[in-house]
Amino acid sequence: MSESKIERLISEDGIRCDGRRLDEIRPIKFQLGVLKNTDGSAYVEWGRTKILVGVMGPRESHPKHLALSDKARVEAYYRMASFSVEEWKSPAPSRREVELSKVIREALEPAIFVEFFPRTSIDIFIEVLQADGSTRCASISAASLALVDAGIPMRDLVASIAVGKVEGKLVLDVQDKEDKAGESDMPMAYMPSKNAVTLLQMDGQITHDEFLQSIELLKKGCIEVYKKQKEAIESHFKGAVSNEEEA
Amino acid sequence: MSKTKIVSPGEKLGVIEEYIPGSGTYEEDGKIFSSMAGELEIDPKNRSVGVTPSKKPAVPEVGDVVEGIVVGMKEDVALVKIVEIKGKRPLTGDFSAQLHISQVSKDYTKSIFDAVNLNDRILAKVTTGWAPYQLSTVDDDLGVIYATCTKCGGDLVLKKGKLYCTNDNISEKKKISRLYLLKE
Repeated sequence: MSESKIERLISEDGIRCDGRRLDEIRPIKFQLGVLKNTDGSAYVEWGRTKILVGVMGPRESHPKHLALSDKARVEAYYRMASFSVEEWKSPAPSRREVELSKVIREALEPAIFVEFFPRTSIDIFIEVLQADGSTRCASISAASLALVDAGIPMRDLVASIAVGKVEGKLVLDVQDKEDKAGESDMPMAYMPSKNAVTLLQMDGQITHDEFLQSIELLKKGCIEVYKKQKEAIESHFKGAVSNEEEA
Repeated sequence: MSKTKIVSPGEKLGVIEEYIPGSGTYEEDGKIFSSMAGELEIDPKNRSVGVTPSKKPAVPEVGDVVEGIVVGMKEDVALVKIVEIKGKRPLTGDFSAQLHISQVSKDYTKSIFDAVNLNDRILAKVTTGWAPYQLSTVDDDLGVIYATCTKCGGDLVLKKGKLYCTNDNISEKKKISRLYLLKE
């Protein structure tokens, strides 16, 4: 009947199609300060997903009537490159891109001290170079690092990951294949040291018990992503120090 | 180089009974957290804790000296585009600011046109913390650092305390900075 029954995504002993365990995340590599003409930038390789994020600001809000008198305006621009997916994607912003821009902005704004920069705007440009599932999670995690690189004061880092339901089992960090064949997908953005959720979405169908299990799984995954983010920050600063010594 | 600890935003640095929260930190429920990524600095003498980031946002703050270009003239105010903040990293966007006639110099200024004119490059100090930033050119170092002749557009040269155009042989009245770029 369905294709997923012929090609099993999870084997008998609980190993997924790419060799991961059910609660194992993909290899994640963050890098800070990759772009010269932005205030802050970050690059992430999240399995086969590759995303570049640039932050500009705080700078004067344009158009000026949109400026907020008591805080900075945060704006996210999520964009997928035409070559990022299997079939050519139209370069025009799609409904999905506009929606993701909005949810990414709302996931990051609670972490930023926006009240320190009244009447300015902080622009976050997200370019998805290669998409293989969890692009919104990778975007949020990388964007929070780009904001850190820009020196913008933040309450906490925002780490994000998704849980899916594939063949009746909950799996952490869904990739494209699993997302398409799976029954449900649930991304979450989380501030680990504040224990605060800034984004929680879900599609598909899961039971109440599965939902509670998912939340625990998501928290565990977010903390793993958070560790990777902190490692990236440390290695970025160590690199900066050694560069200074060389110069 | 001494061993330094790198912290990232949201990391707990201590409690307020231990330290005074310094720059790059914030306080919540009696605990001190880092708000930036950078080197942790603990001052045991003053019992304060702070974080030094590698980059700070380039936003004009009160007391900053900025370089600007005059983009508009009104009856008693000059509209200025801030293009550089001294001591901060290059801007990714301009900030708009205003120089009011009362903030030009210590002496009485009869007309704003006696102080600055369109396309003048000026050094000024910021006196407010949000846009439109208010500027002041009262100090000797502040004022016009480069200007062109209103008649021919050629460079004006500072000669005996006045700005001369060698082409047209005229001088122009301005609030000149001690750091004027073209001196004879």
